[in-house]
Amino acid sequence: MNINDYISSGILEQYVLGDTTPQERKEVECMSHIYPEIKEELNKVQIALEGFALDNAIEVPTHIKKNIFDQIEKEEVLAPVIPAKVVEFKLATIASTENKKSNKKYLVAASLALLIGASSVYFILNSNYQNKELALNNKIETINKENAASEQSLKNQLAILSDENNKSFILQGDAKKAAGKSMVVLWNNKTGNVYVNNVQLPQTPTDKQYQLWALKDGKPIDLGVFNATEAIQNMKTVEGAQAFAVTLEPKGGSSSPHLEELYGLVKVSG
Amino acid sequence: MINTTNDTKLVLIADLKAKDKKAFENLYDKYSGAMFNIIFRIVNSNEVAEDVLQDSFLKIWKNIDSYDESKATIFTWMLNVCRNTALDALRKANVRPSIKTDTENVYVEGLQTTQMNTDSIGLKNSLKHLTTEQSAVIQAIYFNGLTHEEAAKELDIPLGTVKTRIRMGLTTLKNIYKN
Repeated sequence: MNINDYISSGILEQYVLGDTTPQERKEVECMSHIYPEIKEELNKVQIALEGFALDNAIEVPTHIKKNIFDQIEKEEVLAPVIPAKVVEFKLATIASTENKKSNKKYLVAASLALLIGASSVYFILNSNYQNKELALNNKIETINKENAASEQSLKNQLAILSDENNKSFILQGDAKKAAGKSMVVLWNNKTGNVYVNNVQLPQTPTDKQYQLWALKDGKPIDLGVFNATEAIQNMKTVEGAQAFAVTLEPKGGSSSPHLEELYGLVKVSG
Repeated sequence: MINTTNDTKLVLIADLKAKDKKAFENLYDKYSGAMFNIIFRIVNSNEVAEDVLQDSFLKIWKNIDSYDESKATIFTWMLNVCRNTALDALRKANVRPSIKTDTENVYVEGLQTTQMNTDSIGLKNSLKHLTTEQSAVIQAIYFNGLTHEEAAKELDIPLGTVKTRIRMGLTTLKNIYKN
C-alpha cells in the first residue's frame, strides 16, 4: 500500500468528518497505528477542523451550562439507585446552622399563617424572638377556644418545628416538572422521624400521589406518600438517610421509585 | 488549551476520565460554542439545538471512559457525539439533513459578507482562505451533517470532486491551523 495514495484518497478527512463505514473506520485506525505518516496526517486534519470549528463558534445561552451541571449533579446522587451502576455518594454540605435557624423561624411563621389564615400571627412571629413566644402562646390559647382540632394540629406542628433535633431541608422542584416550587423535609436524625411541610409542588391528578424516598447506601427507602398541601405531614421513619427524593407515583405509592417522575432531590449533610 | 502540547492534553483527558467536574467545565467552556454552531447547522432550530447540545455534553460526560485517545483527538470524538445526537434528533423529527439557505447563498453568491447572516460572520475568518467551491463542500458535510454522497447530490457534482475539494480545502485549513 502506497502511504501517500492512502493519504490523498480523502479517507482521513472522511474519517474525521464522521462519514465512514465501520469497516473504513477500523481500517483508518489500523493504518494510522501502523504508519506514523498517516497518524501525523490524521492529526493535522483533526487540528485543522478543530481550529475551523473554534473560529466558527457561536454564543451558547448560559442556562444550558447550568442545566448540564445540574443534571450531572442529580445523576451523581441517583446513580446508585439505578441497578448495576454503583457510584459513591458525594455529600454536599448544606446551609450553615445560622441559616437553618432562620429558615426554621420562617417555617414556623409560614405554617401557622397558612394554617389558620391569621395574618396577625405572621406579623407577630416576625417581631423579636422573646415577644414571639409570648404572642404565640396567647394566640394558641385563643385558637384553643375557637377550634380544638386546629389547636392540636398546631401544637403538633409547633412541637415538630421547634424541636432542635429536627433538621429541615429545602427540596427544590425539578427544573422541568416543578420549576421554582419547593417543599420542606424535616428529619430527626435521633428518632428517625420524617415530616414534609409546606409542599408547594403542583397539585397531583386524582389517581397520583407524591412519594418520599430516602436514599441510603445507594438504595431507595419508601417513606410513604403525601399530598400537595402546606400542612405538616407525618412520614415513615428512617435512619442514616443520605438524601431525600420525591417522585410522582400511582395513588398509594410504589415499591420502587419511577425515576422519570422525579420531582426533586435534596442531599443531607454528612 | 487542549491541543497545544501533548502533555497538557494527557493531563486533561486523565482528569476528565477521573470525572473531574472542573476539567469538564473547561472542556465545555472551550468547545460548547463550536459544537453549538455545528449542531445548529444540522437541526436548524435554536430550541432543538439547545436540547441537542445539552444531551451531547451529558453523553460526553457519561461516556468519557469510552473515548480512546489513540484513535482520535477529544475534539473529533466530541464532534461525532454531537453530530450523531443532532442527526438522531432530525431523524426523530423525520427531517432529512439538507443545505440551509444561508449556506446556499454562500455557495452561490460567494463569500461576500453581505450574504451571511449573523451567525456566519465568524466564517469569513477561515473561509476567506478557501475557494467558494471548497467552502461549500466543507460546510455541507461539516456544518449540515450531510454524507459525502448527499453533498455530491445536493451540490450536483461528482463524488470524486467532493472529495478533492474537501482535501484541497483542508490542506489550506491545515496551514492556517498548524498550531
